[in-house]
Amino acid sequence: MKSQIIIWVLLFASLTGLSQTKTDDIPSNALKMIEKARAGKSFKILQFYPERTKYPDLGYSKCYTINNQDEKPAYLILASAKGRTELFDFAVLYDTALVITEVKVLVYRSAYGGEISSGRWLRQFKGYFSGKSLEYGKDIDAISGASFSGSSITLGISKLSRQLSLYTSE
Amino acid sequence: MKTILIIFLILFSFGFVAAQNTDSKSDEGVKTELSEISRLSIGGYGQIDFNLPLHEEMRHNATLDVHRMVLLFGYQFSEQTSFLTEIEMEHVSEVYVEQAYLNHRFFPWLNLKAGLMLIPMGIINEFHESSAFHGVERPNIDNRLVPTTWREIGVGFHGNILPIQTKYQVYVVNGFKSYDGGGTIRGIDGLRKGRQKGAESIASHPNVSAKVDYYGISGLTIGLSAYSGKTQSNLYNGLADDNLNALAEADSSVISLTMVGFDARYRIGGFELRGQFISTILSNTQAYNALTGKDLGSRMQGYYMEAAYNVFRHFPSYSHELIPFIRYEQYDTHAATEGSLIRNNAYNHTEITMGLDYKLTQNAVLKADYQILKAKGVEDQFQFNMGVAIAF
Repeated sequence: MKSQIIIWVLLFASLTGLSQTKTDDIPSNALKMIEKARAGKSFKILQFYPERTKYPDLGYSKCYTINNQDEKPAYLILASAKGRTELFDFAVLYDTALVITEVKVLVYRSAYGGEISSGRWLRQFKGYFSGKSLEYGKDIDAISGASFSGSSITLGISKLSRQLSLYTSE
Repeated sequence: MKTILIIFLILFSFGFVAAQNTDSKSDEGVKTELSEISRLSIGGYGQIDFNLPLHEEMRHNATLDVHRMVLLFGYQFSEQTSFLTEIEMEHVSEVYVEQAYLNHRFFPWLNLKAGLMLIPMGIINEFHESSAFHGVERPNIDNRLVPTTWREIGVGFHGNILPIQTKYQVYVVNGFKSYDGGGTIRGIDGLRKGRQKGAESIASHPNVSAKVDYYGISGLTIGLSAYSGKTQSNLYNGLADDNLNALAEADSSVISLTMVGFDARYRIGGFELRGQFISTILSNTQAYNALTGKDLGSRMQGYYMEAAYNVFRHFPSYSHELIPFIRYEQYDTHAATEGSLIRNNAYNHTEITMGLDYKLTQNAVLKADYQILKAKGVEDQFQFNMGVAIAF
């Protein structure tokens, strides 16, 4: 038990030491996505603010670069989308080539449609890059009982990816 | 009455304990500005139908009907607490409140729901938007066996247990009304006329409703539903505890019922397969029929199977969907009867519905279908239907 606590404290200390941006704003399950992708390598996180008039969806989301020193950055986007009635929050992690490596639903609020939080279903977004078509029911399998949330997250990720690729090519 | 109180006390104390333990870390939202500006949601669904009975030697009028137009409002009070209501106009002029419930999320796996809610039984009762099923009309099993849209006032818990990809719901709800100056439930359409819909509903016995859905296999969702309890009767109202004759009469006006359902939905490629089985056991029907002169069966049972395929899936540049489908239904509201009541064969139905859905978008659909409606000892009926279905 003691050794476990020590490891956790060390992990936490190393994290706080390395991050440049206030990581308090980033939900812990999104931070875990980054740690997993970095596979133990250190990183710093910086928030950036795309202009809303130019990047309507990206501009209303929380956008971060993840890198260390001269490396090309990877990206984390924290966004919200609406199911039938209630917003849900999700995180999209891109690699340095803007290919999606992971999508996670952080908070799902409605009584219906929570099936989209399933890791197995979200895995379909992995490997997607902006420019490829992304249509619910075709590229992404429809999911019974979650048609509103399913199409909403598909459209959301499609738009965010397109806008992120425009922003980074500037 | 005591049992109701005890169940409610347990439910509420459980909710209170859960509220104390809410761990904010496990439930962190992103808190974008969007969360502030979209607290109120407006939605709805509707179906506009054309129904034409076809007969070789007889003419029939077709009917054109705004069958349902439902407006939905949702309000998110806080990160955890929300309210949802659906206001329905049926056949243009009948107004109902279809749902009105408060939802509070303690954890993703533990939510409290209280108010007028849908009973989780089978597929259609909860997913009843006209764009969510194939064909112009809902399957008839979801009319005669599961009296959709079935909703009552109640309280309970639901949640999504992500690690095992399972959703559960368990509620204490008000039951059907079987007696209100006379019997209300009967052989031809089972429990349908006993729905109280939360409108000045009377309560004498609490009922329990539960459903578990498993979605852990790619493309597949399977559900197991159960409902159990006694019907409500106004003969208990103002009844003295020592009036044994009246008490016996009141007991005759009540039916004990247990309904179980199994449903499955499977999607692979452009295919969609659905199936549902429902069985209801009713007891005390002999005494009930003797008291009320009704012909209520002691078992109602049926199933349907449906296959559909999106033909346009082979045209990637085409975003519409063209979905031919076929549905086979078999159900009997007199699967068994008690006492001297003879099973009425006319309540034993076999129905085939085949047609086309043309989806302009996921939730805007044009529909057309043809139905062959058979019942034992009754002349076969045929019907042609067309409709507009939307949800937003």
